Amino acid sequence: MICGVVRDMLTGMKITAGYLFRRPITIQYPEQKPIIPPRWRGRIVLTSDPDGEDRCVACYLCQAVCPVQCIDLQAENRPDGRRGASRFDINFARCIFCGFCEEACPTYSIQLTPDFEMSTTARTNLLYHKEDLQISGTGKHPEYSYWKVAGVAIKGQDKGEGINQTAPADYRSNLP
Amino acid sequence: MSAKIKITVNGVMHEAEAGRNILQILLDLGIMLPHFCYHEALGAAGACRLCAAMISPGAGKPARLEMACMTRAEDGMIVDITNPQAVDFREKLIEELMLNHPHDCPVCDEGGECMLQDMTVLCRHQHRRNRFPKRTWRNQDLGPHIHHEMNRCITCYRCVRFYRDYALGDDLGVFGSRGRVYFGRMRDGALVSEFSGNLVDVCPTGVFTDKHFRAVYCRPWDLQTAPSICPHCSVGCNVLPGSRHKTLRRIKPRRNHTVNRFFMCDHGRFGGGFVNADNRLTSARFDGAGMSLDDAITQTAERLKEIVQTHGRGAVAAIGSPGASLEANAALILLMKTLEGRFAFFSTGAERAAHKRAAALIANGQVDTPSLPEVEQADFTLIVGGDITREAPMMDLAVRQTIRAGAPLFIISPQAGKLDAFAKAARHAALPEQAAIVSNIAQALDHALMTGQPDPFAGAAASALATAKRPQILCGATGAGGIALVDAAHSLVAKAVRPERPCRLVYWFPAMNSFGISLARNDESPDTIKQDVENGRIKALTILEHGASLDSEWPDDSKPMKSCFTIAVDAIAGKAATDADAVLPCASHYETFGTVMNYEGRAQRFEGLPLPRPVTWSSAEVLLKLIEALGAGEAINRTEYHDLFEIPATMSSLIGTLAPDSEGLLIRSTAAVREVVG
Repeated sequence: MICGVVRDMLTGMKITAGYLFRRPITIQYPEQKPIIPPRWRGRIVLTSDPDGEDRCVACYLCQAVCPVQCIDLQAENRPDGRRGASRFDINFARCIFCGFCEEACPTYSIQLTPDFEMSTTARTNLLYHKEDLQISGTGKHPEYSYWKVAGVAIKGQDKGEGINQTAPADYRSNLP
Repeated sequence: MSAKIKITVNGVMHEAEAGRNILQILLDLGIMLPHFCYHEALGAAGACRLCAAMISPGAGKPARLEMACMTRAEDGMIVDITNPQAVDFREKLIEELMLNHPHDCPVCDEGGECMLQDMTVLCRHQHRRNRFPKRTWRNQDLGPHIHHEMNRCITCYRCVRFYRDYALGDDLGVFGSRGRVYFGRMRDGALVSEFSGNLVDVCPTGVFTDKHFRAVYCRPWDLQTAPSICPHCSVGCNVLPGSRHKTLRRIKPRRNHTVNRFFMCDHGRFGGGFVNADNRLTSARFDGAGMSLDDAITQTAERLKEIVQTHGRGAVAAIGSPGASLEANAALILLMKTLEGRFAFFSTGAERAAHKRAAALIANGQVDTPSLPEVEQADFTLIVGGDITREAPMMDLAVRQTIRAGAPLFIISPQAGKLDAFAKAARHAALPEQAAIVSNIAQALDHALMTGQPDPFAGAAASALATAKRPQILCGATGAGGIALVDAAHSLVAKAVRPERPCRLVYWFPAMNSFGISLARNDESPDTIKQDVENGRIKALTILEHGASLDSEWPDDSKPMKSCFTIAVDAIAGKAATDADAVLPCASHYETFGTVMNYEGRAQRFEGLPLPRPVTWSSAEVLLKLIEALGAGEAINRTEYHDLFEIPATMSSLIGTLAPDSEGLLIRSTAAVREVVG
């Protein structure tokens, strides 16, 4: 029995000793930055359309799906016919970075990024407003523009001018 | 109770009422068969073809794919909605309905309560296979209330069936044919119907949406709601206001099968602006100085005590409000009892007399007052005493159902109204002359079989009334026609009633709770109070919730009111509150709870939205605090509804336990209700 105990101890020490001569996996963070996979679920951003306008159309789906209810927004109708968020708040003190909001977003507006360095000394700093969340790029879906397929008339794109749409129908005509 | 039939649904035998279609029966049983065009109020149209099910007339007989809404249920029928052929048919059909439906759900205001979304999920259509371009439409500007987005239309025809067939409007129609069917107006312009807001509800998708809700949009699942009663007229429609972020966002009808059922008028639906108004009273004021509500109540109580001590009983008076709940008016009466003061309701003595007479007739059961669904059943209608389209719009909609059924309509009104177009005859006369015309009809009724009537209108109305099986008379008890009109309508009904045929009579009132305050005990005529305010006998006057509407007949801000200490308990900074010496702000109608009585004398409970504002007390609570500050708090718990109002003691306790989702409680007294006419 004692032999068994000694044998187990020696096996463990052998494994430990083996690691003495390998390269360490740990890195000297924060001096040395880790390599984060691109699909990492970190800090949330609001991306822009290819034409630079807000992608968010304030559909409230992210707010509805959020399991911790850390998203709050208010929709507004803009003079150019688009809808967007007049206010968009994410409370990162509450956010669990589950990524449901990104999954629910019908316009690829809300995206999670590989940035996780958001620590702060005051909790109020973790309440991000729209201007804190917005980025100027399109993020993961560079081509997609929701308004091109929505079928809604906006400034610079009349009814029927979107992708895969016919010109407005004329019900007064009898022609085929 | 109609006959029962047995019907087998998905292999389970159910008992159902005879004479209904299969879809109705399935929905009543809680079995969700997808459908679009069927609506409980509008009936079946067979337009959408979505409610397909395998239906067999009986055991052993072959089943066929049929539209459930177009098939009358017969005894022994076997219905299978899970049959693969039916399921496949519905899935293909919804795929076709979705061919041109745009990809705009994220910006569609219907999202979250969209029947098309629900039905698409229910029919398991998930993937769009069609790659051809989508048809688009130009929208129309339909006025300030309704937003039009025609791309979303699936041609179920519900909108025109409601607007044209049900509400008898004529400025919304259907145009075009086959793949180009368009629902709209001839040209851009505001919809003129009083019931256009219901398009938002009947449209299964987002073609017609609420412009006001859309302006500050949020999803319906985020709305906080409370069962309430519309404050705008005496019909007492059940409504469901919704709020978010401390503001009222929209108002929807709430089903009550004895009142408004499915619909409501635009006035009620779009008339909730007072809750978010800029001129809401938010802070208390006493003698020109702003202060907390508690302090203002204490100071007001001190001042009232002083006045009573100096000038004795009868020096303080109060004016109640038909726009406030029974509880608020009760608290006001209790306050006056505490101070040995006097109180009045209404704006003139004549109005008070007419109201009291009408309310007493209803409460005593001397007239048979129909509910709105019963108004729809009548086969003769005489409207007298006002413009029902403006003063009680949902009753107008009920009358339109009688017109659809072919019932004759006679109108006596001060000026041309919208219902005139459907009337067999309309007579325009000033309100005081209308009683004489009603009496003429009563006289003509005696000689209905004689020819050569002196008054052709009265003659025609009388002969139609004589032959009708379920006649009704709708009379405006607004007071301008006076008690004479109320009595004339009553005596006409008394003459028209026969043992085999009831003749129903509606007195509609100008305000939400007119009926309730008409039952108040010991109130004075407003004329005497007005006089005593003017001649300085009344030293303090409390005005309850009159908003902007305090009648212009009240003394204006010149000399008389100056000698009188005025207290305004109000939610809106109207005339009464602007001139008052003490302003005690209270929560508005949609933020409070209470009881109101509609034109039938139906007591209905409403609850308040939790809108966190600086002021959260209702006017009743403010007045009760004032009573407590006067040191008479113990009187509050001792007082019952029947101590202050002509309500039978048995009903008094029932009112206290009313639930907001109940049908309400009809106030009827078996014992004679004292009729006080001053």
